[in-house]
Amino acid sequence: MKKIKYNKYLTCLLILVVTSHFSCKKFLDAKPDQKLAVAEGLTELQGLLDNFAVLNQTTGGTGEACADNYYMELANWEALPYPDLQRIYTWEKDNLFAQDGRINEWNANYTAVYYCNSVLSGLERTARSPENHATWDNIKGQALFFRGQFLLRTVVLWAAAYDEGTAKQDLGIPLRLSENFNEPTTRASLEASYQQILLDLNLSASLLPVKATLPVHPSKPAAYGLLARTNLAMRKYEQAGRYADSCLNLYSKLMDFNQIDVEASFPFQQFNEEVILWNRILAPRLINQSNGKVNPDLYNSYHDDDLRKKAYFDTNSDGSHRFKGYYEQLAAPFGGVATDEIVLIKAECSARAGNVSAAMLALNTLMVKRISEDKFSNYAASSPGEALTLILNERRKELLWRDLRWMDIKRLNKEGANIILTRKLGDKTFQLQPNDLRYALPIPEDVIRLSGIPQNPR
Amino acid sequence: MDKDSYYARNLFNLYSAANTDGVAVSKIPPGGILDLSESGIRANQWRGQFNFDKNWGYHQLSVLTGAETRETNTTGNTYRTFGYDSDNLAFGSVDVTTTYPTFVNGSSSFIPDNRSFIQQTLRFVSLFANGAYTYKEKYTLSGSIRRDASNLFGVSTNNKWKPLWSTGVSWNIAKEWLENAKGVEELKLRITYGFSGNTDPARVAVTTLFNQGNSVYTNSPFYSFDQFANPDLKWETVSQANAGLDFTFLNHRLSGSIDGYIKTASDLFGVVPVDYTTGVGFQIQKNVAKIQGKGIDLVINSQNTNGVIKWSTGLNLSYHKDVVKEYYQTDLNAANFMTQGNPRVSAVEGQAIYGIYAYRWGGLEPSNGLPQGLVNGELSKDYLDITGSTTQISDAKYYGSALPVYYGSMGNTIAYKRFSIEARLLFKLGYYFRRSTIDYASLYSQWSGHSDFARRWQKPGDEKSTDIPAMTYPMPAGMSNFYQNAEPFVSKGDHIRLQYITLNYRYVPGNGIKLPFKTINFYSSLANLGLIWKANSNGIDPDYATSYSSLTPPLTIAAGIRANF
Repeated sequence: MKKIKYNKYLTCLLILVVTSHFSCKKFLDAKPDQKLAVAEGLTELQGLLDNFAVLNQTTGGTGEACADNYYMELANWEALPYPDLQRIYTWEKDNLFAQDGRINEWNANYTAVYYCNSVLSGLERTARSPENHATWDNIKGQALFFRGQFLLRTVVLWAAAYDEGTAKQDLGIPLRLSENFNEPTTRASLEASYQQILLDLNLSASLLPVKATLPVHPSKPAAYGLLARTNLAMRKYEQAGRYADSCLNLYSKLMDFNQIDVEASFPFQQFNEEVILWNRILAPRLINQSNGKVNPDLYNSYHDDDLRKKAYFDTNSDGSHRFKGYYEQLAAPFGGVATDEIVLIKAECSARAGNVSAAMLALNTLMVKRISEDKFSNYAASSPGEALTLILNERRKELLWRDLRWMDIKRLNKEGANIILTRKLGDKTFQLQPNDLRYALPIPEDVIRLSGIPQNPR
Repeated sequence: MDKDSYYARNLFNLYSAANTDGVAVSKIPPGGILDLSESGIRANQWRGQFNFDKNWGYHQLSVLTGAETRETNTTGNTYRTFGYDSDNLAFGSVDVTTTYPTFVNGSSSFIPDNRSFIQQTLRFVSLFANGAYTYKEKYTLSGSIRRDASNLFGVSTNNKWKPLWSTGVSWNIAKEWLENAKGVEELKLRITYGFSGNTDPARVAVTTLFNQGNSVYTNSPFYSFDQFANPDLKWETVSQANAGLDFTFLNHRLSGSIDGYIKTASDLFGVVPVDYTTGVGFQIQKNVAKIQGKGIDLVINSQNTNGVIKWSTGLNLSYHKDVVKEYYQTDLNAANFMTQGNPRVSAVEGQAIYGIYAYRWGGLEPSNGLPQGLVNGELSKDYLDITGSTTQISDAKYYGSALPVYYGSMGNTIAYKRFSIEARLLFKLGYYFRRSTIDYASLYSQWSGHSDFARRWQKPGDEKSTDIPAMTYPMPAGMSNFYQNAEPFVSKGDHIRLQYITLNYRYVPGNGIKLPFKTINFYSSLANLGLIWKANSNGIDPDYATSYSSLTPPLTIAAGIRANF
């Protein structure tokens, strides 16, 4: 009798445990927050790429802050709140980047790369079917494009200018290509770094649609445009010219400054006709409107008939000038791909190939939209050298606050341009000689410490 | 927000622009801005339990087993209406998908729409069983097992269940030997061993995403990362062995317990800085160390006098010392362990788990009042160097634990007739803390001051009497970080605190006296009386020294009447 009673208890207990275990599985699978999701499925992966704060609107602009489009007054320089910002201005050999929890460009670039890697891994877990293949391919293309874009930004800042002869030995950048963050970071060679960028962008060009719904999303012309820029940085002018052509064949609209209110405080719309891929740079405050005054030599190089002189600059009360020609309709540098840049790449590469007429034709398609229409006459050159000088001069004047000048200085010095950068602070003068080791900026010291990768030679 | 509120007027004006006729037109309809939000919480709890008790002969068995589930559901939403007029309930519409130039500087931006939905579900399940078997009322064998689970760890994880078990034996000495001994009411020895595993909310089987709402650009949802799945993260396991003695002597006038324990935690979780080239942020949860803690807890309650004046004392004393046994991470840069606020798990074997470290200090430079560090015994003002990889944790000065090693409290109650007075003292000893001081970096950027500013170096000679650096502008790189974490700003935390004093008058009407209550108490109490003694000479209460802006709680005086009916 007693025994039966115990058995009853035990049975009840067993039923309780077993049933609770089965129902628990489902009970505990509920999302704690309805807004949580897993990185697979096309909606979620596109959702990661739509995180514009990571991929389209990113901390950067260090290159622009190192370049010579602007200068700072001593008082403004002294008032910079962080020593790392002050050190950027004078190209110190170390500690140029925040290491106190503020986001620096290295961090921003590699966070974006991680998003791309997660999307690429997520795609492997998401079946590609006849119904979804167009979207699937598009997402893959976008992720590859963004990875290429951020790796390119990184290599331009933290590695020496590309030189075909030494690139296999030169230090490149970490190529993080997987979502496994436990993998140790290592530095690839400069050659391998550029090859990876070219690979990503080439593959993305084959996957992306000819036209994106918005310039927020990468498209084929954006990939070709970035390939042109990458090859230009590598001084592979023939390829750069070809990719510029491929881009312009798909999209070549230019804004006519004659049709724009150049007096406005911000004359250019955020998604204006020239924008192929939108990126806004959250730049160091050195180059904001109150600190970064326009290099006077640069300002004086604009002819009065040049509409850019009014569209790009405003005069400060002390007679100096500030930049206002952002392609953003607010005071933030544009870091994306736009047709004016690609037209200039095409012109430059034609000139370097000796094709003066093609070079001048490309240059004039741009200049006719930049010079007051009643004053414009076609630019002409009698030799490739003359054409190149003209084009590089216009490139310098067109692409301001676009985070492109640093790359240009590096590659042009490799071509023998002998650009010497000079800063003045009070009675102190600082100079950066062509091809100085400091052209490869110091990798943030905390990254060196935590990862053990080698620092750039000083 | 009313139409005349700053918020409504500002938004209206911000999105205004002159039209072709030169008339100012706003993209926002005139009127107030109405934000309606709504939220609800629903909670369910269910518990089932079996109890089983059985006595036969010398044997005694009791078993308890059961299960429990809980669920909390939170839902909510917020919606914004522009151009709202409460008189006639009129409202307008705006286009939140386009950017408009703003009035002040012409930069373009979206109209903030302030719409959101919330739906959160938290679920917990527990299964538990306890059992005890006693023989002859002297020897007891007990065990308990428990598993808890929740859906907290993300959308789909393999680690919802958390195990917990313990087992123990006890021996009633009083029953065994001292049954007839006078003055010994209870004497019992206990030994237990317990084990538990902890998983961390950061441990998810798959990386999870969080929907950030709709992108203003694409009008589709966009995601950010919520938790990163880290296959290398292991369970934190804690085992604890405990031996204790419970006693009651002298006709219950003296009772208490003494417990000693050894606790070992392996794969302890800790936050460590991570190489952010990985793309997952600046720091990450990792298994950082194996630690061991030893301690003794003593509780004594005594009735000291029992006559007209009744005096009783309650005393708690704890001693706890923990040390790092092993440290698994390789980055031993001192800067990682000198955080303001909560200290990190320390890396040096044999030192306290949460230790206080400081940069070595070389005093202020006599000519300009700049702080100097010591690197290999040499004075240095290369602050970036000192706070960088030059100072490893072994180079920094180690003070001791950031947590009290000795902790205790003593309460005394003295009662005389209807009056009683009670006071409680609390003490914490054997630990250190980092004081805040003037931070010139935040002084320059946010105007945040500090009383140390008055004691700063101002002229040569001051360095003999102060360690507060001179105000310099611009400040050398890394200086702020260096001196705030240097030796002068670490103090001993030891202190004794008078926690409260209560005076009570209790009246119980005798038989035959008719009053509407059974008992009545008149009382008055003083709380937060402050420190009686402290080791630091800076006038700082160490319990409230962690943050720049924390205040000690003010003295509270309360008086009241309490009646039972």
